[in-house]
Amino acid sequence: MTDRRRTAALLVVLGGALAGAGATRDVFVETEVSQQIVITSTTSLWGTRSSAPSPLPDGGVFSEGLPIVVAAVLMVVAVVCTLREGRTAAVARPAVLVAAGVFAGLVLTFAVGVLRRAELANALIASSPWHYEQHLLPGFPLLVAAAVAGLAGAVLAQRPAPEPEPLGADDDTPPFGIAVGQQEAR
Amino acid sequence: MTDRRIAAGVVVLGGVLTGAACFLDVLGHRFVGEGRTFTQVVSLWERRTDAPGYPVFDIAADPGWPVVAAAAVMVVAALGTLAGAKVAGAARLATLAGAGALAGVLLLFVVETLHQLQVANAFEASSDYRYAQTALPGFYLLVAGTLAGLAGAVLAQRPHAAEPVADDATPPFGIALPVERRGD
Repeated sequence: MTDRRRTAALLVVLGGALAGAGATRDVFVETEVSQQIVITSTTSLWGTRSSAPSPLPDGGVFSEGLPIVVAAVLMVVAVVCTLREGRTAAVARPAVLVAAGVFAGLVLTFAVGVLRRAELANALIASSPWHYEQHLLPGFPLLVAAAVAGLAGAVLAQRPAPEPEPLGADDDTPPFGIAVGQQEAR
Repeated sequence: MTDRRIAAGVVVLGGVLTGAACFLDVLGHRFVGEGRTFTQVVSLWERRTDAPGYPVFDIAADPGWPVVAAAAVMVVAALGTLAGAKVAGAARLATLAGAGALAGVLLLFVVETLHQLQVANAFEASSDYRYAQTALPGFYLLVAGTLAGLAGAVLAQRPHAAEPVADDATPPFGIALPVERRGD
């Protein structure tokens, strides 16, 4: 097993660990202020906790936890299979790249959604007395880092396993000689 | 070469279908209650409603740019697989990653849509409003484009270099003669 394959597997497993960490932490917090009222809503991949009913639509639409976690798990399982030899590794190599791509696509869409949410929320309350602020929490950079690490590891894992040295290597044939074909194993 | 052209063609077809989906509406929502009926139409970029002053139903992710980015990577990489061996190797990987990313974007969109339906159904159960959700042509095109992209990306994984022609004519005790490689 080459160091490159191990490094690839470690990178993907690191991506999976970062995804797990990101999935258990809050992703962003929103603060809505109007005169005496301050509403704080904190969102993770699994839902939103709010200090009071918000004038904005519930962040419950962020139900991305399950697909993101499943994609990360598939990515890690596939990269572990690339450490095996033979057909399993040959099938696992493209599988880890597809899983890492799916994971990156999920995180990308989620990240764009979070940033777009702030933009839309500001537009929605522009003509109201409410003031809106959004701050990213550790879950956000953890998920982005997980996607980058997973993709990098998946690309690195595409190097096929080296062919085993043929038995009875023909070291004795001089460069100007004729190599005699090896006898096939019957 | 023919196989790689077919694979690239399938990926490009996926890109075209996805591109078409970007110009069409993907979902329709219909609300009926309190003597009123209003609709909301969702594309990959925006939501339009005929209900004056009605707030945005949800402000979930608009997947337009992620769809375009993933599809662009997928298509450009698929065209790269038709180039020389060195470029084609990297392009095959990028095709697969791009197709996977497009599938991820679609998956998240579908999960959000289903969740939205769940929330709306819960609201419907506790109110006099009736709600219906309809998938529009853009949605089907997006699904077809993603599936075609994935299929083409898997097809494109065939190695670039042609396998040498099998030397069946040489007996086991003979001397293997140099064999010609089948060109593209």
